[in-house]
Parts: sequence; C-alpha cells; structure tokens
Amino acid sequence: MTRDASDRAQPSQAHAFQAALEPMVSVLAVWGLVEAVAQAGVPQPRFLRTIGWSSERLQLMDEQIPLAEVMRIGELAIDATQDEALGVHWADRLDRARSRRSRTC
Amino acid sequence: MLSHVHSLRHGFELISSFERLFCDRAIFSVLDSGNTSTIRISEWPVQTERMHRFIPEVIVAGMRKMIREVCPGAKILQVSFAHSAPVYAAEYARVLESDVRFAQPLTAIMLERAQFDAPLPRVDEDVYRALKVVAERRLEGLSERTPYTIGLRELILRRAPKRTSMHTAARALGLSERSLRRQLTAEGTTFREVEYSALGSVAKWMLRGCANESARSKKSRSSWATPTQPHFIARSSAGRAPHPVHFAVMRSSRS
Repeated sequence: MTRDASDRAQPSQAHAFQAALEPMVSVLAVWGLVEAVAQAGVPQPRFLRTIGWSSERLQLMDEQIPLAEVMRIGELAIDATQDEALGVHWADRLDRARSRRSRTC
Repeated sequence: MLSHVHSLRHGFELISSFERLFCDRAIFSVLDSGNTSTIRISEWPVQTERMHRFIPEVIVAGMRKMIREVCPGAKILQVSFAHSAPVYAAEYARVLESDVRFAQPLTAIMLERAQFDAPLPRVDEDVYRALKVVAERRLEGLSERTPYTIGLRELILRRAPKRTSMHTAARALGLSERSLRRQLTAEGTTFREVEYSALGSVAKWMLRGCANESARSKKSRSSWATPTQPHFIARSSAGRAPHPVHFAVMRSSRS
C-alpha cells in the first residue's frame, strides 16, 4: 500500500469513532424546539404529549440528553408543524416570540 | 454575555469556551484565510436525510441570528451547506440573507475578516465579568456531575480500535483501578459492560451509517473517491479474548 493511501484512511477511521461517541446535548435544544413548534401554532401541551415529555422535564435546563433524542424530537417537530424548513425558521421564530414577550414586560 | 463582547471573534470564542453547557463536543471551529474568516460547523452523526439538513440548518440559522444581534451591520459573504439543495432552498437565502451554496465540502459561514475582528461598542466590562462568573460556575457544576461511565466510554472510543485496559483507563481518569471499579459499581455498571457498549455503538454506527457517509464523502470530496477508500468490517472474535467486535480496515488495494 502506498503511503498516500494510508494517510487518507486515517481521517475516515477517526471520523467513524468520533461519530460513535453519541453526543450529548442540553435540554435547552428541546426547549427551543418546543417553543418553535408552539410559535408555529401547535399548542405546547399537545406537542409535549407527542414527544412523551413532561413540562417538568423541560425545565431541567442543566440536564443533557443524547443527540438521538433531539433528532427524534426534531423529526416530530417537522411533522407537527408540517414545515420541512423548520430548521431554517427556528431561530427567527424564537426571535419573534422573545420580541413579543419583551414588549409585554 | 454576548451583548458585551469586544468583537464577533470574541463572541465566537466565548461560545466556544462555554459550548460544553450546550453540547459535549465542539460545534464549530474558526479558520482564518487571507481576508476572510470562516466558521466551520462540525459534522454530526445523523441517521436520516432530513436530520442531515435539520441539524446544520438549526446551527447556521442560530449563528446568523447571533451575528445579527451582536453586530447588526455584519455582512455574511457566503453560507455553504454540505447537503444538497432541498425543495425549500429559496427559504435559506431569504432567512440567511446571503449567498447560499449547497453540496459543498463543508457547512460553513464566511465573513470578512476585518468585520469579524472589528471592535464593537456597548461593552460593559462589569456586567460581562459578572455573567462570565455565573457561566463558569455552571460549567464547573456540569463537570462535577459527569459520571465516570461517560468519561470511560469516551476514553475507550477515542482509543479504539486499540483496546483500553482498566489500568490505562483508571490512570487517564485520575483514579486507581480499585477506585474506578468502585465508582462504576456505584453507577450500576462494570468496566466490561461500558467497553462492550462503547464498541457496540461503533459497530452499529459503522454498519448503519458508513454507506451514507461514504456516498457523501465521494460526492463532496472527489479526492477521496479512490479505490483505496477504506471499508470497515466487523468480524467475530473467535479464538481471541472476549470482545464484542474487532474492527479491521480492509483497503481495496489489498483485496
């Protein structure tokens, strides 16, 4: 095997193991998704039932959950909002929600 | 805290310092080249095409929003995505307000370097320091609560496919073998269970995702699309020490 081929193999192998580390993500990610879904017109209690989460669990902001769980909720959020571009709209929706809240404070 | 940063670069450095509060791996890295600064978004182990788009969309849209808030005048030169253009591609340009490209080698946001480093007004050092202390305390709390099971699992995966002995792991985690065994027992597991679980995840990931990853790599990095692309195979451990799987890298050039 040439040295060149050996060099190319290493990043792919490293990527495979790194990817398998199952990243852990803050509950804040779920909180943001739930908020974005609510902004799209889906009542929060209904969406929490859909994803099988309680509102108490959503408040545990310091907790971390597997990325797989966030992705499961992400899939359900797209289904619930029927917005395939939810990922792009997410930040803007939260922004508008915060603006409305700050105006009412 | 981001309202009190000195520059956009300082803002991203701050996020990097505290990203452990949000995720246990690096979300991005900043690369400077000539007159541009590029925020390169890390790849994530996603399982569906929809999530392959969704995760980078969320991160890039969030960063776009942060850039807009910290430095309203900042202009993003280009946003690139590794995934191909979806049917709603027009939404990207509308929301991100910049030149958006798909099927690129990496997902990234490119800005003018001068703008990235331009000093920002509104710095309130006292508020900034007070908020930083709060964030640092939360980060410390998070580190203290991280179970040994997770630390051990990460260590095993980082060293894989080389096996990690209990002695090596204990030393790396700052414990004696006896203490590590006791800590794992308190967390309801054993060294062997953590090792099998970690390597089992690698095997599953490879079997499930390697085909997709390989297809994407071939599409985005033509230099990798060669007959020497490695293929990962898992084979049984007959005749060897108990182990869930052994990994071998079999290159086409040898087969």
